[in-house]
Amino acid sequence: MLRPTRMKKLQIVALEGFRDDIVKGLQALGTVHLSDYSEAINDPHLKDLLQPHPISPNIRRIAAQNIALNRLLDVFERHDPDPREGFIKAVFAPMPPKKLETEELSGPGLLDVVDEIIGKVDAEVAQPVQDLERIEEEIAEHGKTRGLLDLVAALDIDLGDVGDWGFTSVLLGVAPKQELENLRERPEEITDNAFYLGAGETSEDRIVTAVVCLKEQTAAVLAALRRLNWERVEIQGLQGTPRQAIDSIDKRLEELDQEKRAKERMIVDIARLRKDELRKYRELLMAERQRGENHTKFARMEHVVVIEGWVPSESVAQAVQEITSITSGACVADLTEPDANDDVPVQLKNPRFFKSFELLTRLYGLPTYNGVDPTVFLAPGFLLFFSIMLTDAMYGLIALVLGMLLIRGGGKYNEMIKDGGIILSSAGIATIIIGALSGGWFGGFGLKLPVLASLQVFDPMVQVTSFLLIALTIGLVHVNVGVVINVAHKLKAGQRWKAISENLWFLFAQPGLIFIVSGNKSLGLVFIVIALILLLGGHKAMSMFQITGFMGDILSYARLMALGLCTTGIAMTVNVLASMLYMAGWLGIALAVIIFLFGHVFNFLINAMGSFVHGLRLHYVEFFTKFYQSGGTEFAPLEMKFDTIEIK
Amino acid sequence: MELSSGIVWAIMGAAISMGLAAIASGIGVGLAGVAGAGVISEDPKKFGPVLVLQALPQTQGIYGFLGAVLILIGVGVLGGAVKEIPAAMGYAALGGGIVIGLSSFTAVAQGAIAASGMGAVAKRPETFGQSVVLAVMAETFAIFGLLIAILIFVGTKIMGG
Repeated sequence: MLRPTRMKKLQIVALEGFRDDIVKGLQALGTVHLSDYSEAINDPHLKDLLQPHPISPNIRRIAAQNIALNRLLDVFERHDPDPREGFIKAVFAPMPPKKLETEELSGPGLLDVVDEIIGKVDAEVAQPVQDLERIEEEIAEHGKTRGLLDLVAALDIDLGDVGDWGFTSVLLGVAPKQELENLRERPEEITDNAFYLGAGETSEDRIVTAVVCLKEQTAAVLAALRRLNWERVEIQGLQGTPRQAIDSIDKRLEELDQEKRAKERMIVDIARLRKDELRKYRELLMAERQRGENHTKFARMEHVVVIEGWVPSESVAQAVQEITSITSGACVADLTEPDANDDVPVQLKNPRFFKSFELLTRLYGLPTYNGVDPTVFLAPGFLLFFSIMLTDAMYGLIALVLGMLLIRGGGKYNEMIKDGGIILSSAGIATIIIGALSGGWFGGFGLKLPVLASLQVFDPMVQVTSFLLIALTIGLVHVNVGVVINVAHKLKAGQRWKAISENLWFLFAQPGLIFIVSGNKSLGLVFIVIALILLLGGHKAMSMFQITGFMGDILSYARLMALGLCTTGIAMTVNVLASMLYMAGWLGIALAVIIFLFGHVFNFLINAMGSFVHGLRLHYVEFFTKFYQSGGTEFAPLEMKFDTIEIK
Repeated sequence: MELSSGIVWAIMGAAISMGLAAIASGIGVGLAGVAGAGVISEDPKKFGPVLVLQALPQTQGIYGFLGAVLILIGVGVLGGAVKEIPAAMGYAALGGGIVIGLSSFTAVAQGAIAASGMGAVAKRPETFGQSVVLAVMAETFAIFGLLIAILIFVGTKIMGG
């Protein structure tokens, strides 16, 4: 709480032979964030001693295996896709994720087994896939011919006669119907009547034609026909009338379709049998790859490997014990405190309820290792702001119910959804309280019940000016909290000058103004002078902007009131529209109910989103700027993290 | 029924509040929508964050709507009997409508920021939160516009009077 987990730098020097076991041990522990020690070779003291550590030789093989596994899984996914959950179902009522139990496997042993399984599945699936491709090609080919035959189906000729013969050519083609006369006459003119054209109708304005001409005149005839928009249809290697050809192609297509289904069923059967197995090995490979890739972060000298990482203080003993037991004590595990130049990874550490709000801190950016973790301040502030801007108990109830559904639905298997659910439901509870106090029950709708009306202590639509003052006062307090955190943090970090020069002046200026206004001018002036000295000393020429900046920050909290009124105002409008319709007979009543429901759902959605983003904004822009420094690197330990498998 | 000139001025205030806000929000949502369509053509899975970013410049339209409704309720055109109000009060309502309508034009800038934010989200999805905050910055002045209008309505007893 208040600051990230304290870390220790762990430096391991061990015999190269223990390298893989150490890495595996650290991965199983899941508490060590490996840092890049390869740069240490640039250190003038170490450069003669250390060499860069090469990447694991297994990496290339793992990459090839990964590609092969993905290729097979893609084939399976194409023919036997996994059932997909819609967004709503995935978030509110997901299926429990499938867990596959597996033996622990690693190193060359794992790679050999994976090679074997890839070979086996490849052999099983290659033939049906190849057959399927051939069948699909044939289907496409027949489909194309079938399309051409459809064009000439109206002709009653033997397709075996089409083509070039000893002296004559027989050609098929389609043309616009109105050209029929020309199609007959023009070629007759150029061929001296050595030409025959038979025609059939295909549609209202198209005709299909069979043309017979002398072989030596084919080119001239074709040219004449094309000028009349005649398009040739080239069909080869078929016998019988077009109708008969279509029938036989249809029959063949049916056979092919059955063959295709059979092959697909075969692939599906193999998929059902092998999919989980392939996925299991893919995940094991991923862990293996993670271990292997980290080799480049190490340094080595002759037979010794140097590994450096960060361990949370409370996990140090366990990590050292693990390494000592792996190497039977033949190693050096050196622990040091981080120094000022270290880029220490950041792990946020907050009690359970606040832990969920880390999501909102992360959204802005992780704090630096020596900075303040603002999550415990952010949580209550966010809930307060959200509830004031949503300011309706019924909307709060909707948020609470949605939040609970998230926690009990997708939250069971997904931490982020669970955190979102906790934030939404706690924001819902806060909104119910603020909504009840301000008389928001679907706008003023619920106030018809005396019980609910009796809870109201404040009417935002009437006491508008008081609402504005409350909003600005909250802003003032919030900004002050930010300033106090900054001063306290800087003092603790030994940065005294920063503590007093940055924004301490603001804390002196306020009592100064209060004393002056309340009549105690001399005491007030003392405070104001101190504030001015601090301000001018710390900010010099930019002092003026500090004052306007703080004023702007506090004014910005007026949005609490404006957006609160916005929710209330729109809710009121919905109620007014609905009540006007309610007076207009039974159809009006039905419409009134629809307007009421849709209106309030719309108002809830739009204003819940507004309350969320503006609640965050007030923290990110007005509050965090007083003390917060982001830019930390996420603590990402080497760990065994599997989606679907469980090691026995 | 004879309408007093005060009522007519107030109605003009409501019309300007909603009308200008609708134009401004429409342009803003349009700018963001064009960029959004580009992003989802590359990656349809980004529809969620893109939609949220596109919705941001809509809020000014809602402020315009709220301003118009507050005026209409205040002078009794909506949900009650039309009040006899003095012309000066009508001018005040018009002033409130104008400030909301004009400040809604922040939606245009917000739409442009949201559009760039979508570009950022397309490349690096983790920048979504920051992109939303950047876009929300532009809305501050629309909120201040709404705030001033509300203060005008309260001060002239159009609201809460």
